[in-house]
Amino acid sequence: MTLLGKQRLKWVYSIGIIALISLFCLGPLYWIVMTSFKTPGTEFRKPVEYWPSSFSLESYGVILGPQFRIQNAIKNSFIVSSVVTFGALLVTSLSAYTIARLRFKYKIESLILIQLAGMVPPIVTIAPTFVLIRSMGLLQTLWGLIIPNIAYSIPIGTWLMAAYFAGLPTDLEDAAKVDGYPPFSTFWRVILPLAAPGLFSAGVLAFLGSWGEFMLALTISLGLPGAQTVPVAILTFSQRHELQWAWVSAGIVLSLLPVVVMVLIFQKWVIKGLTAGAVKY
Amino acid sequence: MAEVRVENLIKAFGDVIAVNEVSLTFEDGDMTVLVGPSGCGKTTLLRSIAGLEDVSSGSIFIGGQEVNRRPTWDRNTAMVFQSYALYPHMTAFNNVAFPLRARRVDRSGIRDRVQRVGESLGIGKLLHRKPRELSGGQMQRVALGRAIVRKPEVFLMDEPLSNLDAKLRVQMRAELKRLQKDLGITTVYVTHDQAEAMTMADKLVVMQGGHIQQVGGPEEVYLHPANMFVAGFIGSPAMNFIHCSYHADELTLRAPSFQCPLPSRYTNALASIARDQVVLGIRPEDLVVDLDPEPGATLAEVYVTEPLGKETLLTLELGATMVKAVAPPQIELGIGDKVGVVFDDDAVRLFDPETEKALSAA
Repeated sequence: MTLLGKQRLKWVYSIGIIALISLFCLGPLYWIVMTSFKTPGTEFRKPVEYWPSSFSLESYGVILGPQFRIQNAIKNSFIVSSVVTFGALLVTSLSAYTIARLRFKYKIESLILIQLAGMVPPIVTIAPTFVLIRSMGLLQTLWGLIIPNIAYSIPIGTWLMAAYFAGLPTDLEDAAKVDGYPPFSTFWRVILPLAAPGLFSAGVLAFLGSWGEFMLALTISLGLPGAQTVPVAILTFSQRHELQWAWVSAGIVLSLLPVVVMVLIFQKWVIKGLTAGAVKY
Repeated sequence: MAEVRVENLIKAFGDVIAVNEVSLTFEDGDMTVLVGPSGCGKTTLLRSIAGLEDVSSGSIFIGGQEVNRRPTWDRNTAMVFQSYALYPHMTAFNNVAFPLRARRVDRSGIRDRVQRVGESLGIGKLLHRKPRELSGGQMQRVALGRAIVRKPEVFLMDEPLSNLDAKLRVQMRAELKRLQKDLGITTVYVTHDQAEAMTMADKLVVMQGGHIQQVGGPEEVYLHPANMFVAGFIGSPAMNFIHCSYHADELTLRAPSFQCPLPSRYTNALASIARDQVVLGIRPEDLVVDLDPEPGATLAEVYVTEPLGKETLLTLELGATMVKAVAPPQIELGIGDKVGVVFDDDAVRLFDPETEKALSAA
């Protein structure tokens, strides 16, 4: 076989593998989007409709209508995820900078401890978290979701940001100190702007993590509408109405939209943040 | 402008003593150059003055006031880093303005001062650019601008020219020296380049292993090195060293392949150390090459010639010792040629082979 032929074959193999993986990952999403546009009751018609014979917005109308008002849950999710993102970035950037830059005893042990906390499955801590939130009087409130979600974001956020800060040249901080800036001003004016890609990555992870979080949301909201986020809302109305898959699918699509838009807007920063910096403390 | 003084300064990193009991005065308005090989402690000393390193013991005074406990941002020093350390997310204007903002200078004041400094450094039209859009020389000027814009008491420069190409380095050396003279600000300049040290310094401090080897004007250090390290480090090509035996009865110095009369100014010094071994040091430019040597003259064989344009550098085999000599550019010599070698008596320096210290000439 000629060299050109071998290259073409290699290209075909690569495209084939990518197509297979894409099918595996995007196939379910495609099915959900298509189902959301089917008339309720026709989701499992035989033969299987991979493309709806007729497109309907009925499901969207129902879940946005007075019966379910999923937009309230989306609003709650948005508020929770936004505040979690802000809080997580504040906490993780400070803790990561301390670990990456300051010299103190048990520095590595501190980082390991933070990471160990992140390795504990949430189901193990859900009961004590519930008790703690209840004792703070925050059950069925958005703050009852925000505070634990910030805590959940700390391990991965700290790891990511610490790696990023460690990769920045120390000369810049020295220069800022000589220019007359104490450590916090140096951090705020010089280090944070340079760490923007890392901040975006950590921020997106915190946002996505809290947006799709289900177990804590169900526990803290007690299943009642007051502090429901999108994953809990989708579950509750599907139980109530005997699994109208078209409605569930429409709810999933609506809940995904803000996330997809955000990732598309910030994808450049996310990739930059995830691939930058040598890990060297 | 202020005098800087360090007293018995020690800086240790664990078991490694980077600066070992250094006491030194950096005179007000002068450019004092710290020179030495990598790891000699010069940068650590500079950073200690800036407050970027905590000293293990000793004192640092700026303008007569002890600053050990004063944090970096309160010491009113300005620093130019080897890497320039320009803030990549800021324009050149904002980089230069940065220290003024720390001092809460008002907007119009910042604008005026930054523009003026920019014009004086030839970067007035580049202030809107970010560092990645500037050349090495331009970045260096921005770094300088950032240092001079706020009129500090002390300039600290950590090998600011080492990232520039050779031609630009030579040009910037002259400009930096002139700038320092015009501003009259006390400057501590660190370099490993002995040629740069010689051309820039009002006072030269040669360091090695955390210790000061010699302090003096460039000419003094060049002509009267305190020990073999200084003699070998300062000057390019380096000083030649030839191990000789001293014959007091004949007042001669002898090496396996030559002998020369002992310069009379060293008679007392040699008598005082009571040794018959000595190291003779002579700079390449003081070793005269004779193409038509007289009978009985000291002979050497040409090992290699290196034409440099303005002169020719010769490596000669003087018995078992290799020495370097500087010859006129038009000299025609090949490998293996025999030439006469004459030592300029006044330029000979003698060193104790055990302590490596220079013997004092009477």
